[in-house]
Amino acid sequence: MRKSRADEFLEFASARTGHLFRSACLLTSGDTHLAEDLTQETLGRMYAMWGRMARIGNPAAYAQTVLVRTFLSHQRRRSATERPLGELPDRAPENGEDPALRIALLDALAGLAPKDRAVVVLRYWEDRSIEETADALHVSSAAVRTRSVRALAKLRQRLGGSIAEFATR
Amino acid sequence: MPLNEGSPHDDAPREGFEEELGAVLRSTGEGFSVEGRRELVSGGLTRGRRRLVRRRLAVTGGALALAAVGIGGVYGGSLLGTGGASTSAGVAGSPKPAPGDKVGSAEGVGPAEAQIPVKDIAAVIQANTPSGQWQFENPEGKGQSALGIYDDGGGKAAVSVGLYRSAGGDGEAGAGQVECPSKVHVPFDKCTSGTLPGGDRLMVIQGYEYPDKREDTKNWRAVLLTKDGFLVDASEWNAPAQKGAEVTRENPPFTATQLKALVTADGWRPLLKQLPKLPKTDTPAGAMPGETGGPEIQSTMRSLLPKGLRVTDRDGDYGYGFLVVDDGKGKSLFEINVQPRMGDVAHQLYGSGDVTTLPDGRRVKVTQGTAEKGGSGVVSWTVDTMTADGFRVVVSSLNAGGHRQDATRAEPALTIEQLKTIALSPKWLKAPKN
Repeated sequence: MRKSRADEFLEFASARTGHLFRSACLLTSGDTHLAEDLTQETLGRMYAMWGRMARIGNPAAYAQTVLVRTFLSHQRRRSATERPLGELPDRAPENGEDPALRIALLDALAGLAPKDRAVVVLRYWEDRSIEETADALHVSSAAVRTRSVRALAKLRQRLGGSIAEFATR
Repeated sequence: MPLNEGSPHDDAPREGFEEELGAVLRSTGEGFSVEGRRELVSGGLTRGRRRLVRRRLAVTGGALALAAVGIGGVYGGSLLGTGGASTSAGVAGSPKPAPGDKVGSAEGVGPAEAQIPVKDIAAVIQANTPSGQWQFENPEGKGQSALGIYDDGGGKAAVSVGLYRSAGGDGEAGAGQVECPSKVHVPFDKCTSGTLPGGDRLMVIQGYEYPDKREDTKNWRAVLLTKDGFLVDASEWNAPAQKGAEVTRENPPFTATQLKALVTADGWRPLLKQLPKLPKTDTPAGAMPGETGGPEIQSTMRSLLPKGLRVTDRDGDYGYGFLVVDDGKGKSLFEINVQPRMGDVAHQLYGSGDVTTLPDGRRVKVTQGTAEKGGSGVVSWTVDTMTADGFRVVVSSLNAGGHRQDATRAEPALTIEQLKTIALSPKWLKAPKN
């Protein structure tokens, strides 16, 4: 018997949920409750369209796009509910990791406009190209470049030397 | 895990700060653990199910409320693409575009959003209706529907027209749109459907905004299914809004003939051509993974019916079917839901009440009570069953011929024992599934 669609979906969800959740944590600058909510919403949307997924080449990448769009539409609807730094990453730091820097990064991300944050997450965490980022966000490549430059400048200003220090360890 | 280094499709080499940022993002992101967050997948699954149910309610429930059955997701897909899930609840009413609300695009489902200027749709509406004052919502917007308020001096009335593609252009999924619904689910005063010279199909229904008629808002609607697979769906109300507005006149402004003239206008052709093509799918639109189709459910239901019952009406959709049966003592509605993978909500379903567990692990819950959708003297008998691996079959029977109708008899035509036999039949597990 061929694998049922539901099984396929569960397999997909089990494999991708961790990454979706981590992306959501970065998008929400550390609000793990909102991140859980966004992850579930994304999985729900993927489930609802799963029957049609056969024609969408890369469901994993598509789910990331859905997540970012879900996040942005959430931001538009409820601008004030985000709790920056609601929780810190809940894993104990490992050797060479700097909890202070993580806090600084999440704090710096929280200082960005949601769409700028989405650009940063797509470009530097998801490793999307400018064009792919533009597609995911329904904006032009030029807009992504502008946002990217602006966000990087802001992050550089906030994080300053600490990031270089981390990176050279 | 995302990789930053040496990205083949990047636009420019990343250096210095960008490299460092990537490293810190990865380190920080990986620091968030999903351990102990098992509810993520199950919660996602539950939401997905709810989303499908909502969509189906929006599509069939809404359509049942006013018109058609068995549509599938095309209508729903388009509508979700237009207005997002929150507005899709108004499907049968009027699919109104929600300016600025892009939730629908996050849906990312199926067809791309149509980009027809609302003013073009408005122009065709105006050109093909009797003269009067018009005010259209979001006239500078784009989409595939227009909602306006029409005033001929006899009271302001909401009017909407939506343009859609039927499922993949083949008739079956779209045909449900232009067949009069059963009065089991929805009251209406008049409904006609048929094929026009040239092969297009038309349904005109004069019904109500609320299936229980709790307000006097009427909704009259005409739906045209062209033989090349387009749907033109026009609705009018006797109030300036679909819901929540006082009625301003006894009836909506346009007669059935005028509505027909509107949906069959040649002016729609160039606009319909602008609708994006639907993506091909291999699961029937509207179906949930593992679901059984409406026709299969109906035929299985019929095969399991006790002798001596006459079927006077029937229909179904993915995972759902109903029959109206009569044993000579009055009509009785008999409904069934067949739902795979419901194990995660088992505790909510079988956590209380008269529940027994069979030797094979199947749970059976019997409920006998007052019908939830009303109707004078109506009782509902329900047998809800689920296998150990979450395959749920729930059957119920009313002592009335439809929801919100008054009792026709003292008890439903099927006894609890008969309902149990039907719900627990191995045929449900064997029925073909998507």
